[in-house]
Amino acid sequence: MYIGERVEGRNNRLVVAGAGTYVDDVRPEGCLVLAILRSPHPHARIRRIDVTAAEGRDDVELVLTGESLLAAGIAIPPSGSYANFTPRMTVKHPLAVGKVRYVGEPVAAVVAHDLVGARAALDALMVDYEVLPSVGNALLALEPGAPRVEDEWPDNVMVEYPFEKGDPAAVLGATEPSRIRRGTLVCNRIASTPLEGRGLVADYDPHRRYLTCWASTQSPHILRTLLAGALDLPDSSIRVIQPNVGGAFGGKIPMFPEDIVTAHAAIVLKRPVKWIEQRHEYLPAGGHSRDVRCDYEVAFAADGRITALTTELIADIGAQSTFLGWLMAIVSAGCIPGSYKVDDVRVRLRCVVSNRGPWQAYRGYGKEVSAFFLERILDEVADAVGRPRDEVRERNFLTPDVFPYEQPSGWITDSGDYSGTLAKVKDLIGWEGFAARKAAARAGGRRLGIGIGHELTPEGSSRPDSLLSGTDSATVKMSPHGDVTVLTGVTSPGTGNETGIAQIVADCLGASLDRVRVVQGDTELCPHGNGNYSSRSLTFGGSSAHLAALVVHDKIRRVGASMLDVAPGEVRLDGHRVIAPSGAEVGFGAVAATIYRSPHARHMEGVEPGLEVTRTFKMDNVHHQPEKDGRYNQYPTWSFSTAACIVEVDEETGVVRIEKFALVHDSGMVVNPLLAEAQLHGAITQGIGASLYEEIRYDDAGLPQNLTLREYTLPGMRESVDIVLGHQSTPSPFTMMGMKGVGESGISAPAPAIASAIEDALSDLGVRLTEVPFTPARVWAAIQEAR
Amino acid sequence: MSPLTAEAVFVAPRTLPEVYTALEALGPAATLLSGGMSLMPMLNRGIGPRDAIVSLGRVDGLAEVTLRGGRLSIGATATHTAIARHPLVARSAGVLATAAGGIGDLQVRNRGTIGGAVAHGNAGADYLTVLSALEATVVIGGSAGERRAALGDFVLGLRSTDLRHGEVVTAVEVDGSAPDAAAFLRYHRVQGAAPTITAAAVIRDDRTVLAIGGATPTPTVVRVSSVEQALAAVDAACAANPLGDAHNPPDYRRAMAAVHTRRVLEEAAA
Repeated sequence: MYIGERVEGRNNRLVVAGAGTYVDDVRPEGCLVLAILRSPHPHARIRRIDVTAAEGRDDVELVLTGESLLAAGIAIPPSGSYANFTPRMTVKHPLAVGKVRYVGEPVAAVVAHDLVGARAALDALMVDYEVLPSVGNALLALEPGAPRVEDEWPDNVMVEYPFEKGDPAAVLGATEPSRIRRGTLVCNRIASTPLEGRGLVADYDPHRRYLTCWASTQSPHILRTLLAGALDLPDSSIRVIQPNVGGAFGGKIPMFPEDIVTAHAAIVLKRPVKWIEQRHEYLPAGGHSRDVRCDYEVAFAADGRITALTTELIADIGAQSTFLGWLMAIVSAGCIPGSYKVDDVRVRLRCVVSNRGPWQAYRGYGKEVSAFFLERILDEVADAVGRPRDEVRERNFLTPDVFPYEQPSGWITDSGDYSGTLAKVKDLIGWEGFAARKAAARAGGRRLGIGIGHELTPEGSSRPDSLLSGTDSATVKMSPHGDVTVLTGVTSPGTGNETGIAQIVADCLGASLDRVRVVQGDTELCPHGNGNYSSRSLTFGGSSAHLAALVVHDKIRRVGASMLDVAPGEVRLDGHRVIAPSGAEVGFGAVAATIYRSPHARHMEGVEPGLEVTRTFKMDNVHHQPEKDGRYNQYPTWSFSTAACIVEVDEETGVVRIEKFALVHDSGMVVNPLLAEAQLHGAITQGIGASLYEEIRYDDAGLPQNLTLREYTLPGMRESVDIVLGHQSTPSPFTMMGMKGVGESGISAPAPAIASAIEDALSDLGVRLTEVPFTPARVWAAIQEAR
Repeated sequence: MSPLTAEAVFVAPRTLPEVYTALEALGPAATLLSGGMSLMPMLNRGIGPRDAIVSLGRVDGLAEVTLRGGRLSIGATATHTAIARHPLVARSAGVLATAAGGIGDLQVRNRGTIGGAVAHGNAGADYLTVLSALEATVVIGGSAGERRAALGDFVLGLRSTDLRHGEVVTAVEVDGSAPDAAAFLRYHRVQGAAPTITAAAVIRDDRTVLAIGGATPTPTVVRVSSVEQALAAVDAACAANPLGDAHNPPDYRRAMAAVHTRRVLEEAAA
């Protein structure tokens, strides 16, 4: 058995050796370079773009503007429908038409012989802007009479999504004031910041009318379909190849304006064209996440049990271009109250457009926002009733017997044992006995604090009426020599899911793992799939591969049994062999040879020739027909984790050092613990980054304040923390083998755990942290305020 | 990738006189390039003139570190790594080696130079602070000859210096005899990020010089008579000329200036 084994990731050595091929390494003969002119203004009307000087340069092949794309018929109409709300939509333009709405918005593109020429051509473009009044954040955008980001809309609200369960107003009205807390919490804006930026190389063959794109993308098939729609080409005229990807984290879910512009340029010029994003382009314009404010009201009993909760969420989704990142806010709302049983709850979300940059998916996908809000509220309730913070969580957790559990949002949580991960993480961190350590440290002039944070991580998102609906096919095929190739529609951004898929297929077939190769990321090779997002590569892609492998297994078994002259039911498949009860065996190579070389001979009687099978797994607990069964659920699996940490706070500077960080995760049955842990290490480190270091800031006019990584202080090795991991397995009753997704687990819990620990370190001062990240300046200010 | 325009001029002379000639020929648009660790990212982002680059990287002898006549002289193109490891620097001005060894990350230290950092004049820069406390002299060359300026006179404001067109920072000089005690502190967010606050204290005989960078546009330099006097002087300077950004606002930097005043004086005295 390979499932459950700590098999080394197949890509590890390639990546460490620097031997990967990334999109910038793709260099077709005669490749031209595309560069983008971006808006320097948060909000401005484009009066005129003078392209004469740029076009006049010898080394410039093409200049594109919003108007020229429009003339070519390129504009993206709104599409997709949503279950519980109706967003205001706009036609999207890859290059700005009429006006710009954020700093970094693509305005024009030039294609030149090399980057030097392209940059010079950008300098030669003359844009006449009429600067407009701007709204630098959602609160300004909500003010009466605020400038409108979208001229056709009556205001700046794109989505309004309210839902309610029970009667929270009545409960709040009947609760005595000492058992009610009100407040505001803020999750500030961050960016996923992969090592490798975005990029695309497009090559058009006019004779075959065939466009080949190499893209640093998460989803080749989705990009192909979206590009075909944007460029009015048949899907079958486009091939998208995903080379190695240097980090994605959701930030490379297609499609981007630059993808369309680059592909269009290649078609117009009939030559290969390359666009590679620069870091200073990424930071303002590559897509951000979070930036949500929560005004809450919570009522509770004397023992800390929450009796009612209302939350007003305002998501500053920036200026939406072709991005779909704003849907993260829906997930933030839908995950309230998440792991906690609150029978009277109201959630109202408003997604507000502003002259900030647009959102783009990032690991956590909104769940980290609800986790931060909920955990901060739980801590406040615990303090209000004077009970330990862990005890108050126990008091409010959903218990294992309630599942499947319908959340107030309607989503259905599959399974969980939240007290279990809490108990385990308390052991790992040394919860009992910490008070004595804290007191001793304090006597020595040091401030230590301990905190916990819980997260709920629904995964496997399958959105109705979208290309991300949960269709991930896999092909398993065996060659005449008995070698196995798995072609899968899910892709890897470098995380190693190909290794997990190989383990699943090898176990199902009884094959040797080293004879199973997994191929991903090519629309002409691989069957259709949604690529990589929402931690679903194994729950969907692995399950489809398993289904396909079962069919291959059956054929090998039947033919092998015939070759051994026993009944099919008597043999077992193991070690790449078919083995009879007598111990007689025949290798897969010999069986495969028989199937390919002698399809009309004795052993193949009644057996369909060939050894290539494609299957698509369907998730049983995704529900998209509320009109039929009253149910709507887009998340089949709900992983969860509890984190605990010990921090030391320098009360003079506000600097927080994490002394110890522990996390116990539960993602059901784990296929490869080594890779699951690698995922958790990465997610936790990103979670710590978003808690202490990273923040995308704008001024009130919408001018970005992080233009380089000098200002967007991404944690590096010096800031990395030793992480202690624990496991628990509460299998999903709905998935194959009880698997749940793990790719996002661990990114949400750090912020509330660290906040809780900082407050504990400063408990005698009564410091409250309501805004993440807890930068030294913010912690220092909170200390000054408490004094 | 190159930030240069197709028509850009790039020259890399072998001698200082050739550098001066090139600067004169190219006029005020010429940009001096040393290690490029500050300049190149700016040029990549389209900031500053980039049509004419004069590189100091190939000038012979400009990276030399010497001890002559009781003065330690560090050539302008000496890299941070070289300074951090140089035995003469360790012996005469160990605190300078400490500061050099903490700048940016290893890649930056291998290319970045002391002359470049001094000529850039960025607030809070490690060298400006430590050299202020060491009461350094900047050696400036030009076709008309060489001049010397106290660092405090050379750095005029935030990223603004007294370097005139046609001139080059050729060396930095400090007292060649080791101070009695010294300390340097660097407070920064993450590895590789610019410091928020830098603090240096140098004690020689009965004289203590303190420098605090990052809370004012140029280092605040104080002749220390007592910790309280130093704190008051630093605080007054921060109040008079505040510096800050969205990430570390002026009131926070001012408070951190006080914290690091105390800490660096304690460490130097320890």
